[in-house]
Amino acid sequence: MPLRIPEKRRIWIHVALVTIMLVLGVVALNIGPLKSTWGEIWQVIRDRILFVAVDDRSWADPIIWNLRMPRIVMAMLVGAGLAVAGALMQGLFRNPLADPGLIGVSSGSAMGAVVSIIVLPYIGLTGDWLMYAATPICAMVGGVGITFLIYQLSRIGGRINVASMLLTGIAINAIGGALIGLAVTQIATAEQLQSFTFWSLGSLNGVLWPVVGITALVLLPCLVAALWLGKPLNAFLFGELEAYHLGVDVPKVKRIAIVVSALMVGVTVGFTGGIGFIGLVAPHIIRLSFGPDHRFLLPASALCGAILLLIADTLARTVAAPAELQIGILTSLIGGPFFLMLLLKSRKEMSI
Amino acid sequence: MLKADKVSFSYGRRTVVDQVTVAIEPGKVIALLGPNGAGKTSLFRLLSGSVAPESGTVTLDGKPLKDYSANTLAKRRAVLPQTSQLGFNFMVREVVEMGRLPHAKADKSTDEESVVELAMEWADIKHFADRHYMSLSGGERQRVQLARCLAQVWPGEKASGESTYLMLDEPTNNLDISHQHTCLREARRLADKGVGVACILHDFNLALAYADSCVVMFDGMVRAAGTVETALTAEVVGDVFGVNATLIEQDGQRVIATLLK
Repeated sequence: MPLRIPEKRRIWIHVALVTIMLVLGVVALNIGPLKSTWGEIWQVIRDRILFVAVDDRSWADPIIWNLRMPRIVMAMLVGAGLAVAGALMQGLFRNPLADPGLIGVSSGSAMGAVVSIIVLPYIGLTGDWLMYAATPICAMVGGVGITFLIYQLSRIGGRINVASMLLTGIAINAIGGALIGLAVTQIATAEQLQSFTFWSLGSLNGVLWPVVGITALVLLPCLVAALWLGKPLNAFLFGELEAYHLGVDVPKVKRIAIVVSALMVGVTVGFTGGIGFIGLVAPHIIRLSFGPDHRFLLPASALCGAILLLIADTLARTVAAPAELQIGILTSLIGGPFFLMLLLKSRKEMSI
Repeated sequence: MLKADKVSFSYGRRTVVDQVTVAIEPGKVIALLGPNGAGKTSLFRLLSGSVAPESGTVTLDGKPLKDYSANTLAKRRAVLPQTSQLGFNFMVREVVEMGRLPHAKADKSTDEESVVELAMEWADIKHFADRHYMSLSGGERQRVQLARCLAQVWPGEKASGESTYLMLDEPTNNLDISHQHTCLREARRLADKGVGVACILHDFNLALAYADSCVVMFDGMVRAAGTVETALTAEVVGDVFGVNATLIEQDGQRVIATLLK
């Protein structure tokens, strides 16, 4: 049973979550085919912090700093982004079932990404910028558009019709799947097909610093904006009309929630493909453990998502080494049972 | 004063509110009565500012509602909806606390905790303040929502000089008879503290017992208005609802009994 968390304890819970995340991050640095000592890892980090000249750096630097570190930071960022996007959508749709993957936002982003990976080169646009800029931008545009569409279609008289929401999601997923399939089989070259398949599986493999930087550039402002939405989203749960009566600027909050969540889904889908389950599970874990207050739920979900995806990605790159596991398998494997356990525990309370 | 002046509103071709004038006065309880679909809730929406009238004006202290921000309005008036949804499992206390949302930044002098406690006491929900909203019955939920609205327009110790308004859309829905009386008694008490209360009711007798004035609506128009004694007569009730109505007076209490025509 979720307890009412006093202000002071909320801070401690956040501190605990941040500590867990950082400790796991450091541990993950030392997990991989190349074994190194903790001293060597510390040296790599120290070298970088002190801007030591290239020649004087530790031998482990390229692997620790250029391969593992960006991937770990990316896992945290993407996990936090997906979790907060999920929490925002659940608040916006006033329904715990709303999940970027389930209601079609990820499909919208995927359609956008396909346009950039396959269709843009087909009409003669090529270059490195495509990978860094066009894919995430197209994915974000796709995500925002689809979220608006779903929201409009499932809103009846100021309230969200859950059936419409889920059915719209199914329809969007179906259309998205068909369009993507069509583009892949009809237009793509072998090389594009490979890059697309790799992408669609959802993986953090091969993530480098520039990608992490772009992701952070989009995600961090979105995360900050999301924190501001905590209070109005609480009022939103009563319905749009009631939120207005409580003094919430409904159209503004709605716009921000839709754009921010879709941007976060878009940029993560654009770079790492469709990673499922985090957006659904992380907010639920927090909600079931500490209650549904968005002022607490949003930041705690971010940390919870970061931790979950970091664990999943670390397992993905080590369990079947040297091969990579699809990260979606792991997020589902970790998230699914945990989710079921929480559901069973809270069934009596009708908590969700 | 929260006043609608000759307001009209329609859904498509159907005019649901037609040239209605009504005023909610501080310190008074006004009851809105009328058959289903008479336009009571639509009139409430106009008065609360959630929809704009097609013609006529709604003013708060003489200033049009659209000139107020959502937050300023929320500090001045609360609306209890007919039905409430809440898909997430908040604790009762947290739901009531949400009534203080519009006040969060502005007024540090009010003791937020004690307002919430008092509102819960008034709505008689304090004994299940730590239960989950979803585990409550329909009537209990209604009382929690009432407490939330009470908290929103709670008349503070330090009077800001600005009048506040409480709008209740069928507050007695799902309530047992004793809590129907409690609910309106609290509305009455709040009015005696200077809050203007408007209340959509289906029970004439509750209106007769607790309201100062009333508006009887029929087909989007005002059929009768004035004090309850003058406007809520057996004739009006019989006419508007198509029933045989009889007024019974006993010990200064008035009751309207109805029979099928």
